Amino acid sequence: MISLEEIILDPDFVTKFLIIRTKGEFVKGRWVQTDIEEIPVYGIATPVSSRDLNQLPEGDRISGLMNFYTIKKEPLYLTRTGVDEGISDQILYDNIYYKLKSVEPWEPFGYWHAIGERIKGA
Amino acid sequence: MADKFNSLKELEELFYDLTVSLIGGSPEPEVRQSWPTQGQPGFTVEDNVAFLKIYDIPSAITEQQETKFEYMESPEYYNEKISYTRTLNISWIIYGPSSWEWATKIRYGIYYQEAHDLLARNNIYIVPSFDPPRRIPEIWAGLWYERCDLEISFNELIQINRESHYVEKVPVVVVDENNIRTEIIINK
Repeated sequence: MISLEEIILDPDFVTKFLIIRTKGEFVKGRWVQTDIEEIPVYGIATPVSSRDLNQLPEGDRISGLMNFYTIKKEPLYLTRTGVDEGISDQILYDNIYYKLKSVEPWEPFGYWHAIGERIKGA
Repeated sequence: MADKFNSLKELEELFYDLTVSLIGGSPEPEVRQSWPTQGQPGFTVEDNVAFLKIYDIPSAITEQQETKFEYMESPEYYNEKISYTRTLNISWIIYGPSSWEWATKIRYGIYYQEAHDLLARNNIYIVPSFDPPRRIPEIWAGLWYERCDLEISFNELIQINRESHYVEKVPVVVVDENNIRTEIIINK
């Protein structure tokens, strides 16, 4: 199979962002984060949608989606159960946090594609 | 004087402990709080998991409020005690092959003396009128997940205390038709 890894790392496209991966455990039924791993990676970040203003009675909020591409050895995770229990990865890019909502496992073609939603409000 | 008031976290932990003890078994049953800020890992179709939701609801006795003034052995202050009842709705949303069985255990176990005593120590008492468990399997990604819901209400006594000042003195001003003013201080 063709590997698109070199396109992901092409200097014309590549940028740097941080994957924030959390693990935890349930304490009295409450999910408590016990381990936060910060993984700096190189990949591609492009917008999916515009940054939208939601003007609510309680205040303004901004929403928006971003595409993130990483190479095969830097997988991106959604929520997961079992031994390696954890919640979806977050990505810090350009000082804004994105929570991963969708991951496409293009691993056989050398890369991962995920869509992250802007969090922490405005 | 100490207030009688359970915080949301205290209520969540209390009903967590109660649910675990009512369902019983080993290993300890999986009971989780709903609405986690960051989200929480999911579960599979084979997992038995009970979720707790806690919130206030209106009832026939939630509107009345009693205010009592209590002596505090102080010439300046007294205690103002406000008491009322709030009604809590506890919603158990139970998934998994044993969901109906778990809901049934909670439904009859809630009347056990130990359950009563645990709740009473926290000023909480059951409202003994509630619907039976409701079985409502739901489909997710091509599989039917067993689900059973149970809702029970509880009354909780709330008591809030605050220090208040006595009226020390009352100034009275008398003005006659010639505009002559007389001031009178009425002391306690």
